[in-house]
Amino acid sequence: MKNKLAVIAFAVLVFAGCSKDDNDTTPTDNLAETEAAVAGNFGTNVALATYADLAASATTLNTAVNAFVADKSDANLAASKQAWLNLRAIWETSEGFLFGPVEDNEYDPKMDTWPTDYSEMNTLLADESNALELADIQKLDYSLRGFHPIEYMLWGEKSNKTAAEFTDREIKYLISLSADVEELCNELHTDWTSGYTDKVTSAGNGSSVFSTYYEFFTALNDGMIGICNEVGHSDEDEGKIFVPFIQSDSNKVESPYSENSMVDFKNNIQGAYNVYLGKYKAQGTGLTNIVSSMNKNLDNQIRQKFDNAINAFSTVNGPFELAIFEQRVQLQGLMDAIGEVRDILEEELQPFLLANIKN
Amino acid sequence: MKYLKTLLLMTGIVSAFVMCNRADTFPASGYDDRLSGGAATVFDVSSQAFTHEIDGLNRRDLIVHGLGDQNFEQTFVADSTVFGGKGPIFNNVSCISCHHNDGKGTPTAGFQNSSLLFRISIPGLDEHGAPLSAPGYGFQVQDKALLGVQPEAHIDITYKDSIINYADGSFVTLRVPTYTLQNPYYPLPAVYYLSPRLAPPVFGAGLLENIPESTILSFADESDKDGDGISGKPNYIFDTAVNKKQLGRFGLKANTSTIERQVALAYQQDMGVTSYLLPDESSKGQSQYTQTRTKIELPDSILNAVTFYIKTLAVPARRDVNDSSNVQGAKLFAQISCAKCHIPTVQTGIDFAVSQLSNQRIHPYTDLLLHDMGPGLADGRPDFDASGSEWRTMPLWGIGLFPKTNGTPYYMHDGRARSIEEAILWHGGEAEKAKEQFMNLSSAERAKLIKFLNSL
Repeated sequence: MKNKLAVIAFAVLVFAGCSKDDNDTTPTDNLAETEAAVAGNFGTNVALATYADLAASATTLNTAVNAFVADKSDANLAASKQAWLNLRAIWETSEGFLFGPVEDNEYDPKMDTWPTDYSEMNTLLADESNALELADIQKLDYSLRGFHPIEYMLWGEKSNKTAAEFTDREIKYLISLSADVEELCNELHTDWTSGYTDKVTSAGNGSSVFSTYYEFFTALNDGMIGICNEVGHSDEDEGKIFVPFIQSDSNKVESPYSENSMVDFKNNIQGAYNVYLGKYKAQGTGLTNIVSSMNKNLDNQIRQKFDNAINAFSTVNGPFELAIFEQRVQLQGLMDAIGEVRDILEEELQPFLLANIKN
Repeated sequence: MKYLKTLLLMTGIVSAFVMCNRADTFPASGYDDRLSGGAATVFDVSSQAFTHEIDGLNRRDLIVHGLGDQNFEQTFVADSTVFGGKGPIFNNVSCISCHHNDGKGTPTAGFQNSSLLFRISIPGLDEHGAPLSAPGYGFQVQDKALLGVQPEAHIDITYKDSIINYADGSFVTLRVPTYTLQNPYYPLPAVYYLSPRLAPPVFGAGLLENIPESTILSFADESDKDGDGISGKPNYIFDTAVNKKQLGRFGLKANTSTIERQVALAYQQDMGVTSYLLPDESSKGQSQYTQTRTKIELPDSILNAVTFYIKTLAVPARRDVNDSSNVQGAKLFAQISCAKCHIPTVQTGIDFAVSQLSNQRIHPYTDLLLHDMGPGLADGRPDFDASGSEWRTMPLWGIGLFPKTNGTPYYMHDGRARSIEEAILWHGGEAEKAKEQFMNLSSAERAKLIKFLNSL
């Protein structure tokens, strides 16, 4: 129903756009306005808003972890796990646009390195000479920091860890890990509030990073294509779905302890769709508006393919670790749907941008 | 009948001649100057500009490229059911940690985003002409180690300012680096040479590997017969895989012959991951060494896929080729002799496997030869035929995109230069005259030259 409404609202928007054309404004003026609106909306209402939520959610996780440490009940452990899942959802959505500070300042590897390093973690926990304070954690290799070590600590290797099983050293490690992630998410948000948002919203209008709209839209499209490749499809022998799937190997699953991989993947694709639509909490101006104003058919196809991919996630039931053995047809369908998104972005949207965005 | 044969033969000769003639005289203006990598060019100006596969790969090649891509980004850990084998001593944990976005990196050492490594050796050469490795260190300093293992040393980097004045009164501040080994785990040799190397961009390597050896040698002028002060010397290195001397193309001193060897060396030396080409841990014979579970840690298929990935990374297209300042900048680039080493246009050889690399007219802006760059840039560490002051001409394609691909751009072999202008001013030795001519240009001309370089 919501979708239908969106389509209607959209049609109205497009229609409004057309009738403006018919009046005295030249199409070029309209395009320039829309281009500026896409940059402004993406910078403020999509990216910055996502990172603000990310920072707030990291604080919630840290608070939950500290509550668990103060009172090691299974209920508090469950609350920490839920906080971790909530934080991951926002993070994975933000991966629909992995450029700017998150890339330049290494937040991604600092927080989201995989695989977790069991033997090094065991060495670390056994080595009493390391106090495991925040500063100690921040000196460690990235594979011992971030989301996945926290996941490993909270869920345990077999996903059945109870509150009573936590050792003092594990508790200490967990506290510092969540404080580290909170600090990193806040820094990432600050990078956007203290300058990068302006560089995005002024794309094509004096921005020092994106001197033209074409550059900026290409960066958006590269981000969308990149996450489709990362999640995986069967066009190339890569991706977080494809590799465990083709090798039938659950060791290669990214979030195995929380069994959260399918949710991660869906949020990744939703993040890319958000970029295209210019939508996060509310619908703003996105690439879709530019495409539909010049090539309605292409816009319809792109949105249809995104919708298909998002819907294909609901055909897979249960954790990804089992689905790679038990629901191979559904996973293949899902990868095909993601592959179609990637193909249309790479083979049709990019040439469209090259042909039409001249400023 | 005989007459007919002769006629056919003659027609054949004539048409062959006509074809040759046409190819020879096809005007340069008939080519699209944006195509820096010929058919292996990609149009992208974003931070991902160096990360694209060349267009039109067949399905099998795309799959191998994709597998290589994934592994290029893969973090290795000490021990795990997957991607184990890192260390015990290493410089970094994945290819991408140093080669940010497949481009150049950040000139720090010891952090996980650090892209500097240090080669080390003592005076003398081994029987193959290779530098002598430093006892206890091998030929590279590994400044990181697994928990509970001691790294070989810590590298301290300091800079001091040096001001370069132009005749017109403007000036540029260069930063002069000093590198010191601290906390060595083993007594350092009385005399040793240390050479900093910043991870270079990896795209376009397939084209460079496919430039005929004869073409590279034709650029050489070791004894400077033409008297222009610029020599150009090939480096010949000993490749242990094939047990013979080979022309060096890759590495900042042209000290590696093939992409595959470069990749295997990086896994072994930089990450502590062994492969069939180099099956010994870099720490073998040292106190950090422990017997690993498997001798060869990197599957052959992954070494091959990562090699193929690098070979098939496209070159980003040039921007604004018809902009009048860029056109004038390009003229100045040739006029003050930059183009004598940074050769703009080269033709690649035949490659039956990947047609986009085959017989392409490319614009790498390098001769792949060694040049004496003067005392300011010298590391004092010979490397096969390269002296302590010789470096390989850096390809300039993509140089204008460094701010995009790395956030903060760095230039030269150790990232000491923070801008293209600083990088030019660091040139000495054979490039001293060209630099002086650059400094004597008007500020408007200098700006055009730099703008041109930023369009590459």
